[in-house]
Amino acid sequence: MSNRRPLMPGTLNLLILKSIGERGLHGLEIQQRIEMNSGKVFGVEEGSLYPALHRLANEGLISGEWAITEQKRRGKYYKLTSKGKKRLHMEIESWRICSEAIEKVLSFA
Amino acid sequence: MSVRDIPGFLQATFLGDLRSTENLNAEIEEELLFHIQERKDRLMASGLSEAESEAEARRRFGDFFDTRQQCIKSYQLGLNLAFKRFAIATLLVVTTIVSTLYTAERLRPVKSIEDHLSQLFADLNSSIASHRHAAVIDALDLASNSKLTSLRQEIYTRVSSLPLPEVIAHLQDVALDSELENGLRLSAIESLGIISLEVPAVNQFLLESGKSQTDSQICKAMLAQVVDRLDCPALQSLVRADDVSRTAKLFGLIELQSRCGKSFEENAIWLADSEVLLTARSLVLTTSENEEQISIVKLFRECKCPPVRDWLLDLLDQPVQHGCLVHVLFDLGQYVNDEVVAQRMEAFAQGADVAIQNHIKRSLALRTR
Repeated sequence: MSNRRPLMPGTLNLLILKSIGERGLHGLEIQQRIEMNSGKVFGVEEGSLYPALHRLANEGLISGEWAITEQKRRGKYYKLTSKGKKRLHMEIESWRICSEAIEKVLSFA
Repeated sequence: MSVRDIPGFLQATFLGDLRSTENLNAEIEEELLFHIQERKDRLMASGLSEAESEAEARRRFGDFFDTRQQCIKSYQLGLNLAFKRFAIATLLVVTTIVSTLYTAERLRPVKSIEDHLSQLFADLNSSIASHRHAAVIDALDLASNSKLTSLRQEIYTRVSSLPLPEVIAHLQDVALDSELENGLRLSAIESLGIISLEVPAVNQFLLESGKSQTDSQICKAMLAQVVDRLDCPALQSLVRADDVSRTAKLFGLIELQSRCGKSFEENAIWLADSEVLLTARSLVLTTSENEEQISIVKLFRECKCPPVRDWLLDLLDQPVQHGCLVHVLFDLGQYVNDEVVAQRMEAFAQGADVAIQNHIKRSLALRTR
């Protein structure tokens, strides 16, 4: 039985921001990193990933720059902005509080 | 107004990279195709053929055009948010500008008043009589309605060169209005003094008003404007008159004495007048101030004559202050060769204190035998 699960609502931005980090990544790398770091539980479809990337870029949380890959191909690489780093920190804090609260509820006998 | 009408530098500030729809489509397509191409490369590296890799990459990607549309919508949504930010920022800027203009508008009346005054004062010097007259009326109206003492004083100074009936009437009203502060009244009096050089009626007003003023500052100011034009008889009548304030009498007395200083032999007769001396006696006895009594007595020191001698002898019998008494005795020392005076002084010494006795002894010792 596969462990794969759909993303929890409202978590896509958090996962993207966390996966991008400070090193520039293109869309496929971000997608694969989320999948790999989640133990292949979560998979992000392209139809969700790219609109989210453009939304985050418009909010100034990430910045996209075109660069040439080793295969001499032009690709768009995304980086966290300073505003994005602050948002990521806040989102992580918020998520931890929520998850701890859920855990407490679930462990209540 | 559309987003694309916003000036470039503002776009850069608020909207960031504003791309045309064509460019946006092309850019997003390139990015999505890059994704598919990268995926294909990795699938080929895992052993699939190029055709299989291509097909698998496209399959995994899903609906290419739908994804592209979703990206465009995300971009436009962000653009709308940015546009709202821009609109709010614009609103703030406009509010600031309006606020600044409003402040400037509030300050404008001050500037207008300055301009108005500048024009008004220029018109007061106009060579055209009708302009000048209208400016005078405006200036007096402004003075009447202004609470600014300095402005009113400035106006009174400016109109002093224009002896029009309206000006004179206004200045006279101010000079006599005891409800007003003295600074303002003194300015009006000073301007009336200038006008009085040309208008005898104003000269008369200052003299008559000065006589009856109980406020010593106003009284002196009024009389000071006209005193140079008063001869000795006029001064004497000022001192002798019944309906004249104490300050005016003292003023007249001092001025009369100063005339004696200039030509004593000629003018002493005006000071040694019996009614003047009677007034002086009254002035001495109606004050308890030692210095004031002394200053009155000293006015007659140079005026050596029998009426003054008798005046001094009379004061010995009056309840004057001790310091004043010393001055009376000192002045009587001028008459010690007069037997009546010598006897009166000797008699006075008998009931007096040691200081007075010694003073009388020294005076009597100077008698020539």
